[in-house]
Amino acid sequence: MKAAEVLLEFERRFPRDLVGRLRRSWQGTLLRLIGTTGPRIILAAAACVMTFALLAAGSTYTYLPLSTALAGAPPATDPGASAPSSISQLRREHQRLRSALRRTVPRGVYLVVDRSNNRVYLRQSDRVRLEAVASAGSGHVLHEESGRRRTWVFDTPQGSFRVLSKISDPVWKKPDWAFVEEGKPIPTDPRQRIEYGTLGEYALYFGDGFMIHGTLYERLLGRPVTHGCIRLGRDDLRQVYRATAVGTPIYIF
Amino acid sequence: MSTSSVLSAFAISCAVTLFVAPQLDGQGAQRAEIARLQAENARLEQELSLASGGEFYLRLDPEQKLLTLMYQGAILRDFPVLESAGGRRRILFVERSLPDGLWDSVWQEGQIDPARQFDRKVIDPPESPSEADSLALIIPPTPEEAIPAPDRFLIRYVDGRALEILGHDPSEGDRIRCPRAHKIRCMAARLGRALWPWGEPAVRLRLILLPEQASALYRSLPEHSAFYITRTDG
Repeated sequence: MKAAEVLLEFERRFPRDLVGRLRRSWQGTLLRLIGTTGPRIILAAAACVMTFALLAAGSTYTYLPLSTALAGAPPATDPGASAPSSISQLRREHQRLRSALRRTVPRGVYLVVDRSNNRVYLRQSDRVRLEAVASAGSGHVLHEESGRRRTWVFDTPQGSFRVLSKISDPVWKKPDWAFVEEGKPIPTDPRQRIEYGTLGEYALYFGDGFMIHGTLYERLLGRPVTHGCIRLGRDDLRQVYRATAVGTPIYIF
Repeated sequence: MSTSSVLSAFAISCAVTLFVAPQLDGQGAQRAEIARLQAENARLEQELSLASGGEFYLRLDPEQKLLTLMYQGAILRDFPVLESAGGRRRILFVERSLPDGLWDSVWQEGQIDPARQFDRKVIDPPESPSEADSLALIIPPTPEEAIPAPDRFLIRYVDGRALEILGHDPSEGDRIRCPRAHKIRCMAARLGRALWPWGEPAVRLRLILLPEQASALYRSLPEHSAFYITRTDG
């Protein structure tokens, strides 16, 4: 086919005003549609909105002040329990439970560590004697790429512990991860692991290599930067050290 | 009937009223005291089992307006409560039924919703001490930056129960509004929850705390903690 014939065929199939015609027909169809079904569409949309509004209004919560909600609810009783029947028995049981509950409460001072918010509290029953900004474990993971290919997770442990020993002028015996992290070879001579002054003036050891100790980097307090130990500022550490004894409970959450 | 027999009947009824009624009243009071002690003992048993166990738990004291995080009987942290309300779910105006002894039982297995996002960073050991020095200069984010807390979150427990914690500053007025920064998203989420109510808990206990207290609770609440309400009323 010659070029002129191709051009003629193209013009025959796709007239120049094709786009214009298409646009006109589309608009016309839409207008006709609105003209005939418009009111129905508007009504349907309104019905949908009303249904949603009704569903939303009827599917919320009925709130009552807690005291009212509690007063309206009957207390739970355990039908399976062999409840003592006489008042004297019940009173004796009440006393026994109260004293058992009192025994679970720690006596004297205790330490509370909030790992997520990086805080240490020195508490005595329901009183906070000291709130200190601290640093807890970073949560980082370190893989050893050669040698024994070990993995360390730098988390502060959760649960209840006790002060196992109190150390003045503690010396840090650097564990293997400290060398791996620094990109240094692990020494064979134990003397090369000793570092003075890094842990501050005092340390409270609570087991499994974990301590509450001081820091050279007080500007980082409040941030999770440690390898699992708890760091405190100098003044707070002094107070904590003075107030606690071997056996003082430590609760970490 | 003679006047004397009416008088004697009256005298007998007076005697009955005087002597028997106080005894009946006393029996009622005794029964009430027994019920009170039984309920109180049941609550103490629950508290004791939580204090003797190995899980963290939240205790709400409505009278003291205090939510307390506890472990083995020790108070870990107090969160003062500004306002508390018990909410019961309605679906299409029909209230869902509540489990028996709802407020007196221990709510188990608390899960924070939305869940906290915490990405563990994996450190590649540096090849030289100089590289390690440059890594040490990176300052890690604060807890607020690392785990941003929403203004409103749920602690979902088993059996369709949930604590709804709202951080709200009373100086901003009584009404809890969506924060300006993401108002549209917050309002859309509210509408979405209302329109799709089936995933929501059957009962919700709404506690309003100061914003910083609510955020601290969001960040630090241990996984699978329990919850109970302490009641010291008669």
